[in-house]
Formats: sequence, C-alpha cells, structure tokens
Amino acid sequence: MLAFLQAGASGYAQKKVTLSENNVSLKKVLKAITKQTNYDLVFIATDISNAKPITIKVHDATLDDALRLCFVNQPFEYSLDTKTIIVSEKKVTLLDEVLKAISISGRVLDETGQPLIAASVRELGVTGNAVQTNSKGEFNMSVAGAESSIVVSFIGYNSQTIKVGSEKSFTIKMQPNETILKDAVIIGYQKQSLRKTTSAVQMITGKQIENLPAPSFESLLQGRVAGVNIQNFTGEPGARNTFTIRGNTTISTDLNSEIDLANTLSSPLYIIDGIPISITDLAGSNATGSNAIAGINVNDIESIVVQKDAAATAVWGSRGANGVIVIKTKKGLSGSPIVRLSYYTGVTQRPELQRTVAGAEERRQKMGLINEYGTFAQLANIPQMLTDSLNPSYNNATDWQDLFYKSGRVSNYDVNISAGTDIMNYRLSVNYYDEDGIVRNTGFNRYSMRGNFDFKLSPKATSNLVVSASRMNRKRGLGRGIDQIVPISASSMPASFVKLADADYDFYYGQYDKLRDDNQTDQISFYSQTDVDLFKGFRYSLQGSVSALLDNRDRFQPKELDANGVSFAESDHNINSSYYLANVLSYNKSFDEGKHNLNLVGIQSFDFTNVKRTYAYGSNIPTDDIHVVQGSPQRDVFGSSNLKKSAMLSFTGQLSYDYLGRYLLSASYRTDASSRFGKDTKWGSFPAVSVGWIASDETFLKDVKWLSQLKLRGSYGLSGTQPTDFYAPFNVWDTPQTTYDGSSVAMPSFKKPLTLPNLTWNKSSQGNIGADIYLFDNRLNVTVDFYRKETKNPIFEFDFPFYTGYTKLSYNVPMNILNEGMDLSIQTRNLGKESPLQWTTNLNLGYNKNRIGSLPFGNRSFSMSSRDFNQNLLFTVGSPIYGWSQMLYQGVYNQLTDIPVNPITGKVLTYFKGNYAGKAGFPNWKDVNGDYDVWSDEDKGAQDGDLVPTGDPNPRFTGGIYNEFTWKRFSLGVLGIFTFKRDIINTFLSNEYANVFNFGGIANFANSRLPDLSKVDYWTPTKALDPNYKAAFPSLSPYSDNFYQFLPFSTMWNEKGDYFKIKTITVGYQLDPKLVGRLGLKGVRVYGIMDNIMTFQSSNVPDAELVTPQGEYSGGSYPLPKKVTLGLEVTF
Amino acid sequence: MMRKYIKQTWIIGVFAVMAATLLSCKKQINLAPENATYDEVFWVDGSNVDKALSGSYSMLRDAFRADNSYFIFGDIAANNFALGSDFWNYTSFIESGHFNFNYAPYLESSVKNWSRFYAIITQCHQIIDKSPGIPDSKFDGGAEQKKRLIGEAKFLRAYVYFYMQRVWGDVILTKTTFKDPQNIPPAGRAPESETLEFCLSDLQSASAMLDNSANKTHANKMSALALMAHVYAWKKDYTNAEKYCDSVIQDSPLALETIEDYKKIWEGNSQESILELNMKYDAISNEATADFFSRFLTAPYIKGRDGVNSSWPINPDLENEIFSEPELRKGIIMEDAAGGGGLKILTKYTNVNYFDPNNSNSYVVSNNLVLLRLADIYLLRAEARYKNGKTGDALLDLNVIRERAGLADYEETGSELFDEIANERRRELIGEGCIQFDLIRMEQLPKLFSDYTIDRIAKKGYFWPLDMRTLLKQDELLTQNEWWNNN
Repeated sequence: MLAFLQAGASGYAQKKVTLSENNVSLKKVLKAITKQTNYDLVFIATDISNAKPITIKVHDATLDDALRLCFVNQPFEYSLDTKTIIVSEKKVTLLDEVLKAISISGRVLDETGQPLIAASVRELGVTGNAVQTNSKGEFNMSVAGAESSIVVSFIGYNSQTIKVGSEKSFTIKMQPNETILKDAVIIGYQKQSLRKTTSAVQMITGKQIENLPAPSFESLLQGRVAGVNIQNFTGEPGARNTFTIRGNTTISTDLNSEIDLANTLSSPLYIIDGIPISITDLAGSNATGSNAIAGINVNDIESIVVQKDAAATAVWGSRGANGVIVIKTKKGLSGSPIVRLSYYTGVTQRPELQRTVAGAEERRQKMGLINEYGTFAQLANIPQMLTDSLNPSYNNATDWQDLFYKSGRVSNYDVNISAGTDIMNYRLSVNYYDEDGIVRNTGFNRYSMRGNFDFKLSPKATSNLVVSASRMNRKRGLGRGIDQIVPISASSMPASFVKLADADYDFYYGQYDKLRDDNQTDQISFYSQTDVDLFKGFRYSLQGSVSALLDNRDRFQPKELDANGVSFAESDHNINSSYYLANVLSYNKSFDEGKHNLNLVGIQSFDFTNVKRTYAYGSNIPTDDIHVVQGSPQRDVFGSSNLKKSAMLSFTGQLSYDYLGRYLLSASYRTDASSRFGKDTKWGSFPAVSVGWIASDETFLKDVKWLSQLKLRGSYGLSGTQPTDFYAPFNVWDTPQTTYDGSSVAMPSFKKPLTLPNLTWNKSSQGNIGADIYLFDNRLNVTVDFYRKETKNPIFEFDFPFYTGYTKLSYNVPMNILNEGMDLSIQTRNLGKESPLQWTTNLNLGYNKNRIGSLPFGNRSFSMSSRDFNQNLLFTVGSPIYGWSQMLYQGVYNQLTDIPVNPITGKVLTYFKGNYAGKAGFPNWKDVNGDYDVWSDEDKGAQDGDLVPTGDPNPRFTGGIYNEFTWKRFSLGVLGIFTFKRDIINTFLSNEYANVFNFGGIANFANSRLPDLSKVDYWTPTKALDPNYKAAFPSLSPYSDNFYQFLPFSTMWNEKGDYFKIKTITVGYQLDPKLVGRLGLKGVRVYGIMDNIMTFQSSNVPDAELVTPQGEYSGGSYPLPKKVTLGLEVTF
Repeated sequence: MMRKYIKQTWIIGVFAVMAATLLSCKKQINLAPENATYDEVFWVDGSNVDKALSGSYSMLRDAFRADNSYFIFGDIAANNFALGSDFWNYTSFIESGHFNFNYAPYLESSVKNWSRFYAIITQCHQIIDKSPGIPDSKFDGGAEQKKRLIGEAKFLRAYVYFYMQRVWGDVILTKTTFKDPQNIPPAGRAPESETLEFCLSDLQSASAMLDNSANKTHANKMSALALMAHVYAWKKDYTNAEKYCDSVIQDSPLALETIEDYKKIWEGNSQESILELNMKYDAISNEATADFFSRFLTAPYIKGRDGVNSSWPINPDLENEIFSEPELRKGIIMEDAAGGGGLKILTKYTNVNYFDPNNSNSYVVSNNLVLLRLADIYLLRAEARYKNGKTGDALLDLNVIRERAGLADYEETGSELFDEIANERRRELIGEGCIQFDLIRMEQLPKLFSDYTIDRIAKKGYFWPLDMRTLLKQDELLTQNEWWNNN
C-alpha cells in the first residue's frame, strides 16, 4: 500500500488537494484530506468503516473535486462548509434501488445467544428500507446490492454495520452497550437522545428491576438513582414509602393528623405512558391507604427515567418542582407471537424482634427494681401479679410480639404475549402478585392486565392504545394505623404473665371471621396517542387519556370486640377519575447540511380530575350476621358524599437545537392555569433553559484516546407545586350536622386556616451544573451534577392574629427552602472486554443539604409538635425542615451534691416548672436559660425553655452500590444501599422505659412489659454509696417522681441513623439454548433473589431504615421483611 | 391534487380539535367548591343569616363545653367543688392548689386561650356588617326578622366580650369585620372601660331591636336588659344596674318558679329563665352531650359510676359555711354521692337520657345551660340597692329568693347584709358558672381565701393567665396579665 501526501496550495475555498491512494479506506482518505486542508471532519453517519475502499490519484485538485471522486458509488454523501466536511448517509429513495435489489436473511442474537426480538435491521443510506426481527430473531429483507451495508440495532446494544457482500445469510451477535448513550429519553414532550440531552436525568431499564419481589416499582429504585432518597419507613405490603428527589420541600403542618406519612415529604410527579399522575392528589382520595401506583406490574416496565433538574421538570410546570419520573411500559414486537411465562415464589421472613424479657426473668427484673428502690411500706404492697408466681393466671410467659408476627409467602405470576403485523403490534400481559404480610392478617395481592397496541393507520399516521387495569386487595390487620400495626401498642405491651383466653388467640391470630375489613383498589386507564406527519418536518400528535382509581374500604366490627358493646359497619367509596388531553405540534429541521438541528414543539394540554366519595356509617347493626350498613337505628347512621374537581390548562413550548451535534441548547416555556388558585392568579409561567457541550468531539480532544466522551451541562429553570386542596383559595364554611335548638347552623371553618383569594403558584428555581465523563473506552463512566434548588413562597399556614377568629393564615408565605447538593454516579467495567467474566460496578451517591433560607416576620422561628407530641420541631433559618429541638441530656446526677444550686434562692435545681426538686439519680439536663429549672417550655412568654436545636432527620448522604458479575450463562447481582448522616430517635425504647413509672400506680408497672435491663447500668441508691460511682443511666425507680423523664424531649434517645444494607442479591442462570431448543422453547432462565438481607448500623433500633420520615422509631411500624424467592422464566 | 386535499383536511381537522378543546377548557379552570358554601356566596338571604346566628350560639355552646371551661371559670375557681381523681390536672385551680391557674396541664388550649371566643365575635361582626346589605325581601320575616337577627348578634357580641373580660381581664377589642387579611393591624389590650362601653352600646341597640317574643334559647329584650344590669354592676355603676334590674323584674313576663318546680329551671324554657343555651336531647340533632353536666353526677344518674373519681362532688366545706341553715332548696339541688363517703353531688342537671336501651354506656344529659335567670337579677338588684343605700329594698329582694328556698327572712342590715347577698348567690347559683365572677365583683375573694392577698387582688390575680406561648406569636402587642408574669 502506498500513500503519498503533500500539503495543498493556499486559498480558502479553493483549497487544493493532492492524493495518491490505492485501495484504502474512505476514512483514511478523508483524514488525509482534512490534514491537507485544515478542514474539520464531521460524521453524521454513524459508521463509515464499511464504505467501499478507494483508489484515487489527484494532483492539486480542488477540495470539492477530490471529495466527489471519493464518494463515487458510496452509500454516503458529503457537503462542504467554510471549515468543515460533513459526511452523511446518502439519501436514496427506495424506488431507485428496487431494481438492483437482492434478498438477504439473517438472525440476530444477544450476547448469550438468545434471539433478539424486534431488533431493527436497515440498509445503510437507504431511507425507509428497514425491518424488525421476528420472534425467533430472524429477518428477511432486500438490499440494493452486494455493496450495500446493513445496520443492526437494538436498544441497550451497540449497533453493528455489516457489509452484505456475497453473503445471503447472516448470524449477528450483538454486544450490550453499557453506557446506553444512544437511548432516547422523553424530556417533556420531546424525544432526545441521552447523548444530546442537556438535562440531569438517569435511566433505569426494566431489565434492572424485573422479577424483584416488591409490590411496586418505586421501592426498587432505592440505591439505583443518585439524588433519589427512598426510605422504607414501613414494610407493609402495598403501603407507600417516601420518595424524594433532591431533598424535601414539604412541611406538613400537623404530623399527628397525617394518615399517610409518605405525604409529609415531597413526592415527584409520575408520567406513566404519557399520563401525568400526582400521587399526592391520589392519596387525598384514598380510603384504603394502599399505594395508588402499586397497580403497575413491575415486569411491564420497559424503562424509568428519573428527571431531576429544571431543564427536565420545568416542562411539567406547576407540578414538576419535586422531580418527574417518566415510566414507559413495554410495547408489542413484530413477528409471530411469543409468549413469556415468569413465576417466582418464596418466603417473607419475620425479622429480629425487640429484645425483651419474659416469664420468670421478667418477674425477677421487676422485683429487682421494687426491692432496690421501694421503701418498707411500699414493699409490703406488691401487686399479686408479681408475687403470686404459682397462680395460673399470672405465671405465663406470653411473648406478645410473637403473637402477631409470622413468616409469609410471596409469589408472582406473569404471562405476556407479544406479536405484530404490518399494521399492528401488540403486547398483552397478565399478572398476579401475592404477598403475605409478616404481621398476622396483613397482606397484599394484585391482579393486573395491560395491553399495548400500536397501529399503523397510513404511511403518515400511527396510533397507539394503552389499556391497563388492576385490582389490589390489602389486608390491614388488626392494628390502628401506621404507627401501631398490631392490636396492642408496641411500646406498652402487657407483661408476659398475663394469660390469654382462646377468644383472644382467635382475635389476635386474625381468625375472627365476623370481622370484615375489605380494602380494594381498582385502577383502570386508557391512553391513546395518534401521530400524523403533516408536511415536511411537521408532525401533529393528539394524546388523550382517561383513568379512574376506585378505592373502597368496607368494614364491619361485631359488638364483642367493642368496649361498649356497639357493633359498627362502614363503607367508604372513592372514585378519582382524570381526563387528559394534549395537542402537540412538532417541527423537526436540519439546516445547512445537517449542521444545525432544530426541534420545536408546541403543546396545548388540559387536565381534569374529579373526585367523588360516598361514605356511610352505621353503628348498632341489628345482628352480627349483617356486615354492611343496614338496619342501624336512625340516630346511629351517618352518611355523606363529596365531590371535588380540579382542572388545569397549559401551553408549552419546547425548543432544542444543536450545532454539529456538539453544542447543545434546550429551552422550554410553560404556562399553566390551575383551578386551584385564585380567580386572577391562576396563571403561572415556568421557563427553563439549558446548554450542553460535548467537548470530547472537539478536534483538540479528539485524539485523547482515554477520553470516550466528555459532556458539560448547565441548566436553570422554574417549576412549581400545586396545593393539595382543590379549593385552596376559598374560605369554606362548616355546616355541621349538629343544630342549635333545632335550626341548622353554619360558620366559617375557623379551625382551618384563613385563606386568600389571591393564592398562587409557589415556584422552585433550580440551577444545575453537571458533567458526563466517559473514560477508557467507556470502562469508567462518571456523571456528576451539582444543584441548588430554592423553593419560594410555598403555600403554608402561618400564625395569624387570634382576634380575627382564625389562628392560622394559609398563603404564599414569603419564605424559602433550600436544597443544595450533588449527585454522583459512577459506572465501571472492571474487567477487560475479552474477559469471560464480566464485572460491572455502579455507584450512586446523593448528597443533599436541606435548610430553611428565610422565614417571614423578620425570620421569626416557629415550632411544631412531632408525631405523638414527643419532641419539638423547630423551624428556624439555617436549620432543616423537621429538625428537632430538645433538652440536652448530659448523663446522670450520681450524688445529690452534683446537682446545681441556685445561688440566689439556695434551692436545688428543679424539674418541670419547679414541680420536682432535683435528686440523685435524676437525669442531668442542661439548664440552657439559666433559671435553675429544666423544662421544655415556659409559661412566661419565652417559647423555648431549655430547648436547643439538636437532630436532623433528613439524611445527608443516600445512595447505593450495585455489582454485577456475569460468567457464561451465570449472572450475580448485589445491591447495597446506604444512608449516612441522619439523626434518629428511639421513641420505642423511650416509651418502654417510661413504663417503669407508675403512671397508674405500681399495678401498672407490674402489668406492663419492660425492656431488657440486664445490660443497663442504671443508677441505684446502693451503687451510689460508692462516691466514685458513675451511672450510665438514670434511676429506674418505679416509685420515683415522674416528670416524663424518659420521653424523648431530651436527647437521651437520639442515635445515629446511618446504615449500610445489603438490599438485594440476585443469582441467575440461563439454560443452554440448544438444550432448551429441543423442548421447543426459546429460552429458560432460573434465578433466585434474596431481599433485605443484612444491615450494618450503629443504632439500637431493629432496623435503622424503619423510622418515620421525621426520624422516629416508634416500634409500632411494620417491619421490613426478609424475602427469599426462586423464579423461573420461560419464553416460547 | 388529491394529496393536497388530504393534507388540508388533516390540518383543518387538527386545528378544529385544538380549538374545540381550548374553548371547552377555558371555562373549566374556574371551579368553585360544590361541597361547601364559602365566604363569597354566603351572605345572600335571611335564611343564611339565621344559620350563621345559630352557628354563633352553637359556637358559644362549644366554647363553654371545651374542657368544661364554663364550670371551671365560674365554679371550680370559686372552690365550689371537690375534684375526683380523674381530674388531677384541675387540682391546682382550687384552694388546695392555691388557685394556681397557670398550671393547667392538657387544659391550656381551653382555660388559657381565648381564641375560640374570638371566632364567635368574628361571626357576630359578620352578621352585623353583612346583613344590612341583604335586601329585606330576602328575609322570610322581612325587615322585622332582619332587625331581630342583627339584634341577637349584637347581644351575643356583647355577651362574649363581657364574659371574656370577666375571665381573662382586658381583651383585644375588635369592633368590626377585618377587611384585608394580609394587613391586620397589631392590637394591644383595650382598657376595661372601653370594652364595657362597647358592650353597653351593643346591648342598648340590641334591646331596641329585640322584643320578648323569642324562645329562651335565643336572646331577647329581657336578656339584653339583664346583661346590661350585670355590665353596670361590674362597672360598679350600681345606679344603672338597679335601673336595668328594675326593668327586667317589673316589665317582663318572667316569674320565679316555685320551690316545687325548682328543677324546671334547668329543664328548659322555664318562666324564670331569661336566656339559656339549648343542650337538650332529641333523636336527630346531637345537641346534648354526655360529658358536660355529667361531671356533677354519680350513680344512680350515671349507671355504674360508683364513687366520685369521675365527678365533681360539692366541696364539703360549703355545707358547713353557707348551707348550715335548714332549707328546702338544698334537698333539691344536692344528694349523697354514690360511694362518695358522705360527699354530695349537685343535682340541678339530672335529666340523664339512656336513649339506647341496648347500650348502658351511651347516654346524654338533657338539660339546658341557663345563662341568665330572674333569681340572679333579684339578687343583683339586692346588691345594687344595698350599694345605692336602699338597705330595706335590698332586704326585700334578698328575701324573695330566701323565701322560695325555704329559708327564714334575713334581717341584718350592715355589711353583713352585703356578705349575705353574696352567700345567697353562692347557694342559689352554685353550678351555674357564675359564682367566681360574683365573688370578684363583690370583692369576696380576700375574705374567703387566704391565697387572695392584697398584692394578688391589686394585680388582678383572679383573672386567668394567657397561653403566651401560643398567643404571643399571633399578636406581638399582647401582654400577660400582671399577676401571672411572676407567678
């Protein structure tokens, strides 16, 4: 081979080229040309390595002439710019080529040799000549001739270009692509390639989460997306957990009235197959407490895209401020029907329970305390329960916890069929998921069906229809809400001595068949989208959806179970129906030979939600055979119905533009009018702009071998949130059933805050700077984002002069909440491409700092009660939302002389507003205000007493690390999740210690369960005889002064909430396709999954994840079960 | 050509769809509640004003019932009752707790917070301000009804302010509906004289607007006159107090019940009653409750309540102090508490209704809460006449009440007479939520209880403290009652 190169003559457009090449690749020639001319080379075509080899000999030819020679008979064409040569695929119409066509066929396989179905095969440079592989991975097509090349592509795999040559039959083995860069993401109404997007988004493919044993997909994102904080504060199957993206922006004003604690933190907007769904709105019409989006079968999901910055969320305007989750379900494939069956089953296992003592040991422990602290008189009066150890009523060792917990079973059945013809593709799936709870009489099951249909109406018009329906049933057990999942409060369980009657066992075991509690949630939705190509570049799309959520709870309780002997039945039926309609007009254009690419979208959309409720309640039901509201006396019947409507009209414009595919610009502008705001303040606009630069495409970085891709991004924009109250700006009146002297009454709802007719959007602004850095041939990929999110003027209730009759005003409070942080995700391929063992690691880390930026009235702080009023929540500038203020516990006063004495009065330090003088053995609380009394509040105007800001329940670091190993047909995946820098409170232990005190006398002490004290060095008078004694714990005298000293308004029970958890281990094996093929199957995979395996933590709570969003472990919440499942997946 | 047509049809179709959706949507974004009435649409007719007024009475009833605060302020604080052990958190309010009103665990929101009364004030403001704008024709009873509704609202506004003044001392005085919620001027406490002046002017116009036709459960002319007598007495303007007592006693259709019918007073709509709040049971309306009057009762009235742990027996000292003379009344209003070891219970409110024969746990006490009655006005006039130097007339009034009670006529005329009028009030009106205010007005507290030192009286330590922790955040100019700043 000979190459002769000579620098060309001068002149700009008239650059001269001299070449002498024999049978070398086009790429090489072009490189030579660019070297001579100093022109840049840009490839619009993906791959030119299969171009025809060239033999060329020119001397001082013009650039244009030289290029023309190079491109003779190539499937490519070129164009010239002042400084750039742009090479693109030749656009040839099908007609021109038909005459020369030759037929080829082939088979496309994945890396394990499984057929790839619906892979796309197209002829290079021939627009429109493309087919999809059928269910066996096979394709047939005609191409122009032996010179043609075909391009095979499949989502998640590297595309391959193959020259046809003399071959007529091909077997193409595809290699997965780790970076999934070419995948498209939907940003608002625009499809963008991941490579070109300027937004901070992260994509999870359905494959990553399929077959994992969980009722709902959200919990499966835990640890897989940087910046998403998921904490499972309850393990109850079918209940919702918290899901925040880039920090919390919600302040719940009354934690004690929240039915669903997940509502106390902000939740993202879900876009499921194009339908926007507000989970907070759905929660507002929910009687069963079931997670409204748990109706989606995890295995139907093709991809989940988590959109974090304003560039992506502003397009959703008034609802996007807390992030957007876009879910795409799987679509039908071309070809003859393929059927996939998937089944897994396994056990859910009761976790470790709180250590406690029972039987003789409990008696010993209690008698120990009594003997230690009791006076002579007190010792003479010990409850019979403790002394009479021979009495069969008192000599039991009932493990109360054991009564309520058990092991369960989880199973999942999935069938789906997919097929397609020229005019229609479809995929149908049916699913049944069944999970027994680990608490007796709880559980969740779901039936779901989904059909995705794609129709080709004409060459210019396509349409699709997505139909889904599901039914969820949830057994809620005998508990009383989220904090008390079992019938007896976890922190005040009876002593183990108490004997249970058979009827008690029946009840606690949930075998009480007269009790009825049906919780059923039905969901049905239709979505349809019709696309029409109008004329060059213009496309119109009509999108519409109808969906309904029917949420029903029906209960009956017989009179035996009521303290007053009153039976009751109730029926609570809710229908939440939504309609959504969007007109979308898009325009796509490349200018100047493809150097400028422009995409414009204009959208007009309308959303309407209608919530209906019918409620009936009746007590004193005539007989226990009737389990419905029927036959109650008139005065015992209560009924009501409700109707709420909400609508939103929006106009959106979206622009994305790139120059040379390298300089990227996106902008969007949305304006929303919501019925939930004041008459003149309905409209709000939400602009966003973002830019990106793929620096690695620049010439000066092109030769840096180790840099595969470097993209820098920046975005800024506004998005908002709507109030959950549909009629927020209206001061509604109460019209209670109670009358006055027989006349009906009406009064403003003074208990609700006063509201204003000018309520409007609260806006969040978010700035984001990020980079995608892909190194060493994509072996080390790093994505890093820094953000600052500022929530301004949230609608919130604030103190208001009582002399107006109202005590709170709900308005756009001039305050702001800041969330600042970093998302980091690192993917590595730890072993070389050729290694038979492949090992990839994926680390996702989110750092978020939540703080209040400013407050109204000159930054005046305010306080709120925590759940159960245990500690004070302090809202002050610089502190986080839900931060605590508590008294500082500094140990124990070992001797009376240790206790400070007021030098003025000469009196010893007092507790509880002077009510208890300090004694040895009392806890040492810091007297912050120096008044020689320690207490959490004052009566004399000063709010804070001895409280100081203490803990922060918002985790600073959250994330996960995922390792996957594949070797031949084996695969092993290990997911670890973590949360660091979070404070939690062990309220449970606190309450148990509080049982030591005789709230109701020594009999109560005897009657209540105590924690295990064997390892606690509590203060006793005997030990304190040693003057050097240092107690580790205050006095535990059942006879002592009780000033609630063990309740967590002091820091005594604060702990570090850090944990690292091995969340999931998945082991899979793909059976040999040859073996399977003999059985007529296309593929068989067996797998095993272990879920929630092991936790590493420093705190004493059973599971550091199982704490409320406000950081409290109450002991009554539903434990997170361990699950072990085995599964089988068959394709035929 | 054909292609072009098709294209045009598409485009027209697209724009037709877009236009259609747009037009229909625009209307939909203006939605108003369909599940409740609201400020902007409420004030349209007399029937709504009537509901609002009934709402005020109902709110007043709820305000009094909250933690039984009506009886805490009027009777517990006057040491009239002993407290069963269930009421451990009330014990600091009585003599053994040194009347320490500051320590009110779990009761802060009712006894140290007056916000619920301001809701009633606001409601009255609205009725008074908004009704004149509604045409007379929108009232079923025409201008007459409109006048009556406004008159009742004025009465209630005065009643509430006067009540608050007697419980917490100086109030924040608002005289009209607030117009701009985002611009509420901060307000300090108004001097007592200004508040009472405002009450009197309200009552003056109420007495002109009302007649005596209404039921006892609604304010009428007599209620306005009787309350004016009380306001003047509180102001120590005994001349006017006597004058208004005269009009109540002389010009009215009222009459004292006989001792045989004594308990009818609390059964509702008696001839003696001037104003009462309806709390009687009927099967539909839920106006009666279990927890309010039942505080005074034990078995047999409340089934199964043996012993006094859950009730307020009468303070045994009272019997020795003021019920020592034999009388008929005592046997009617007091009975031995079941399992109470000689303690007595108050039996004014004993119409316990076990409406559900299947359920012995569910009951209500079906009595009315009498706020003003003729005997009270007789004794008030006795007090006024004494202060106005008409001792003989004072004795007449006092003995009207004593005679009915079956007590011998009183004959002393010096300051003993004044104290006896006070003691007669304590006997006659026990358990009616007013004794503490009488003791304050008649300056009896230092005589009765050593905790009321000169200093405490000077600093008005008989008023209740305010929950500054909650209220100060809402009103920066609010001040604590002087005595409770340091106690």
